[in-house]
Amino acid sequence: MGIVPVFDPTTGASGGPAPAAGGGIDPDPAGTPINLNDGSWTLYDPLSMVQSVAYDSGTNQNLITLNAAGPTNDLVWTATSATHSGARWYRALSIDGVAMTTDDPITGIYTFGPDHAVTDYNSGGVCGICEDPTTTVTADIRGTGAGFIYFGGGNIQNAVWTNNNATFESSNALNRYARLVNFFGPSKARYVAASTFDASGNLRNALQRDANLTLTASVPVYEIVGIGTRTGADTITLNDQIALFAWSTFLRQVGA
Amino acid sequence: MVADQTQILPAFVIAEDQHGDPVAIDGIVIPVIIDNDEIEGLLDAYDPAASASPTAADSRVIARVVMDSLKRYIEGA
Repeated sequence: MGIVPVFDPTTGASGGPAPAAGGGIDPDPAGTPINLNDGSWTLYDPLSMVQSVAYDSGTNQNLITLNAAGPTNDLVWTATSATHSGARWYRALSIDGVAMTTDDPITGIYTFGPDHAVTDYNSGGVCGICEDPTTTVTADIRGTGAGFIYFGGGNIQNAVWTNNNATFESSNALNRYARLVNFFGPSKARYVAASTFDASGNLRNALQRDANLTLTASVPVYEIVGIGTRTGADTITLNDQIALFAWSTFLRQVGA
Repeated sequence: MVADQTQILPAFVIAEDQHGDPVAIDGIVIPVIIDNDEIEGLLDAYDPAASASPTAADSRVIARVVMDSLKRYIEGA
């Protein structure tokens, strides 16, 4: 029989230990934690935003220290902008050792959110899959997945990201992170759906959006993690930090 | 024409509007379902260049779908 904590060791309150402060990300998400420092990711940073990345293997936090950038709408990954120039990490997507292309029926599963305790600037980010991570031309990136915007120290709004559009949950102090699924290929990127959660893992909102992106045939698919600002009016100052938690896993769902 | 009352979503949406212009709106998404049998008649009677189009009768039907759905959602019925 396992030992179940009955009281919070700090406060004595019933119900066991209180959730860890700060990130508020469910400690048991599906998939593999994304470690931007593990050598598998390549950084494409057209504005030289990124100074360094530190990964905490205990919390799975990616803490990124930045150079000054913005304000520009091009740093808002979820905005309707012809150019997306925010820094992004990418790697070719493979499933069971097989490189995926836009001809494959890929299902992506994510847990994604910022660390609420890191409040340096009004930030934004995305985590998903795309067709071309090495361009700033939004129409050519063709990326979908999870997104967020965060008013530093205030409210987080999680989103379903569909390249140059997005649907966010309404702003609320309890918002922390999202669990998402997206469908990418063959030939089109379609629905992204999400449930969002508070710091204790309680369900909050539901989101969905049809990316309806026509993909280029037979080209590689890449995982992508992008960072930027909350709005086109927000600025990153020298040495500002952003912290992300991200887990992902991918399926290739073959039809009958 | 009806609203799908079970799928109303409070959300901040960044998208394109009916004219293809970018929009960013914090509001309520109400899915409106237009029966295939209604579409041809509605479009035949509509002239986007005429300020009096659509007709008052068509406008009222469309508006009441949205207003009834919005009212029911806000009032929690």
